[in-house]
Amino acid sequence: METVDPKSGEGMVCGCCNVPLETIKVTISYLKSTFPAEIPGCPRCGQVYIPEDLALGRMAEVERTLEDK
Amino acid sequence: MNHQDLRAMEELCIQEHAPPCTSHCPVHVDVRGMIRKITENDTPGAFDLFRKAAVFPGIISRLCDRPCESFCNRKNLGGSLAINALERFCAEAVETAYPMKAAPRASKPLRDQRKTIAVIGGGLLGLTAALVLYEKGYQVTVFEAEEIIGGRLNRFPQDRLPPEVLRRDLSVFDTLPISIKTGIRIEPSQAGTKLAEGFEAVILAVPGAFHGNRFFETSEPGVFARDGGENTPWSPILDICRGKGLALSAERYIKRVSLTSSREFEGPYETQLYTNLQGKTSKERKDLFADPAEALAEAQRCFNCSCLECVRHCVYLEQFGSYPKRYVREISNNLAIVFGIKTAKPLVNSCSLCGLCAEVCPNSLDMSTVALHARREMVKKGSMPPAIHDFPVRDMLFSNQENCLLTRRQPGTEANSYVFFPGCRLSGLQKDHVLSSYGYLTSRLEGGVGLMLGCCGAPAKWSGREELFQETLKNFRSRWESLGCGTVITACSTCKAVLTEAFPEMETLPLWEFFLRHDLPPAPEGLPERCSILDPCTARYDETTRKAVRALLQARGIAVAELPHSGVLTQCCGYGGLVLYAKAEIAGKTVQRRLEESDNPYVAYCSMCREAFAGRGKPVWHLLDLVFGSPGEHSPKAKGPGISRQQDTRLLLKKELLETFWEEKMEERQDNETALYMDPAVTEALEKRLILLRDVREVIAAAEKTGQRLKNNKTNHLIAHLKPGIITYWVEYAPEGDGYRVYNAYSHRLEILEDR
Repeated sequence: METVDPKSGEGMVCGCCNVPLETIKVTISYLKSTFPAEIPGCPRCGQVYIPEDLALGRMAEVERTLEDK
Repeated sequence: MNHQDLRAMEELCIQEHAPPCTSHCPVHVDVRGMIRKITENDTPGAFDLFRKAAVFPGIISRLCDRPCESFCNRKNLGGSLAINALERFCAEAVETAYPMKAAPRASKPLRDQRKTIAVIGGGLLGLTAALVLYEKGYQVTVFEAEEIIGGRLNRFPQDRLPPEVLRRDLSVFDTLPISIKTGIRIEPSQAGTKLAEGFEAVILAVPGAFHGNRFFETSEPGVFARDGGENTPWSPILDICRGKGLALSAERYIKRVSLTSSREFEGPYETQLYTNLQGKTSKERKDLFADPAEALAEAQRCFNCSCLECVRHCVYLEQFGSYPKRYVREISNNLAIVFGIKTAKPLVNSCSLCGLCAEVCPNSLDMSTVALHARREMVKKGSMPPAIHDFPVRDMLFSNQENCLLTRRQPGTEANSYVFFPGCRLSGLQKDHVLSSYGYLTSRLEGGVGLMLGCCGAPAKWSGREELFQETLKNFRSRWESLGCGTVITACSTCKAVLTEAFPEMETLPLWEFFLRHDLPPAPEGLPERCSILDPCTARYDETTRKAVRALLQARGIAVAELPHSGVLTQCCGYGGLVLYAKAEIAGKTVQRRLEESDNPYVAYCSMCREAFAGRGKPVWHLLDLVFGSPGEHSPKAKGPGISRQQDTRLLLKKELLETFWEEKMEERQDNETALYMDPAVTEALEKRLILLRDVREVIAAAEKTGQRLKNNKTNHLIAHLKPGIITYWVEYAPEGDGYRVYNAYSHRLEILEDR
């Protein structure tokens, strides 16, 4: 999955660490498939942020593709 | 159902069977394809299709005795299509425009078989056999008694078979390495001597001593002859057919393979293809074309025969762009693959399992049995994505948890002749009707009317989760037995169908029947004068229920205008088979089509049907609205309560039933009922995204407890997520008063493996 627009995490801070979100590397998993992705998240504790347009757009598309496979 | 059963089901689909013109044509000209090309102004393409089967296009287009036309579906609607005239039109067009391209075409043999075959007789029959054998790679010698080949073709009057046409068709032998020996008369009785001369097989293409059987065998091995028929009128097209058959028999004889196998479709046969002629109008046949436009007009009379009955009636079958034969093949192939890409999942999960296809199919092919079987297999093998049916199954489990379940005998009686089982949908959508119905039944029926709340298990069944379905049925049965059994009174056709199939010994009756047996409550005000009925798909084979509903409407004085899709031909609303959750757009299209079937207000007697059709501009009454009235907020035009309220209503229903009929107070629930505030747009989004308020509360509670949440410094909104099951929920919120204001909520199925 391609990198998410870095601006999507702008103005967001981690509620635990009180630091601004940055683009972090995560692993995404669904239906026996795993792949790396870069999404906004806390550089310190790793708490992630999935913006609405990502969840309902590209992620939903990937979900459908994997479900139909 | 095993792989073979699936193959047998696939065979039931007749869409790929030939149209009658082609099946009755001895050489099976693709008439439908040819006509289509004419209508597309591709005359050379049409001619190619004709030549491919007819071998000698000039001769056949002039002389064919056209058996195809007697079987044309146009026969009684303006006259059979002028197929032969159109073939001739194509031939003449190509002869005029591209004379070099009008001759027969023999493809180059793929390999030299190094075997020789003698063909005795150089007429149409023998020449066809010779040409076909050449294409198969044999060295062919034709012996003709006359000085020129062609036999009787040379004796036709010029106006029937112009000499240049005959010459062009026979010119193919001028260039091919087929040995033509003219002026040599070989008596049929001498055919065997050719074998002795070294020919591997002999084809006797003149009338004579030998009469071949259906496979052209004679009493002499290696000698093949036509099957007599000297006393029947000569048919040029049958000669082409027999020439091909003779060639095939000779080849099989030489190759020492079965002479008879897979030859059932050789020559004319009866096709199984069904073409619905309803609504087709008559149009006069034209045999002679003054110009190409007239030929085109004649070609356009072709019905382009095909079945596709099920595809015409079903949005799902139409949506995938093909027909059941291919669908079943795709599904069964996918089930057979252990590893590899499976492409049939959307096909498997988009069927409403309603069975309409079986009703309209001439062979009763039922896609629902294939789709349901595939779902069960996929669940068993772990290849079914659980998220697809997650919401309806969780909703079912909610209905069957202790807070919602109720199993009671009628207060004050030990007897239990009946059990009222309203089902989970009505309980969530219109609880007042459940209260009124139970009150009605207990006051009218003798022998005790018990009550059971809960879900029958249909969502588990439809999702292919067989184990869960059986467990749900088992629990239902044990609750029913604990009451002392009794006739089950249902208010939902799905419950009735599920229970009847699972427990044939359990008597079930529709609630509507009792309003007819006893008195009807006073008529509410504002009832429609006329309506159309939305029969649920689960009542397709339940005539008792369908009749009772109509009688009830009659008793209320409401005129009924039947929809084209009603009774046994009814369509599903999209909830059946859980299509709504797997492919919402298919469910939506089905509903839209049915909405357009009539301008009348609709009456539904399935709560899910009512919900699917309501809120789209047309009044949609639930049958119980017409019995007890439409309580308060339930306008026939409005949709019922949303997914969260339906669950709350089921909880509330149990409480109200216990208070009303058993005078029992339920303990107040100690749930996390934090106040949530949101704009209608947010409520609507939650509804569409199948996010319950319960899910939202859970996310906020966890975030507030652990502090794990994000903050948007621009808006001061908090954003938190939680994955309580297989779905991850995100909520954007902020504290407000005694609770929280929710600004947004969404979910995803992909799992983010966070490294915290």
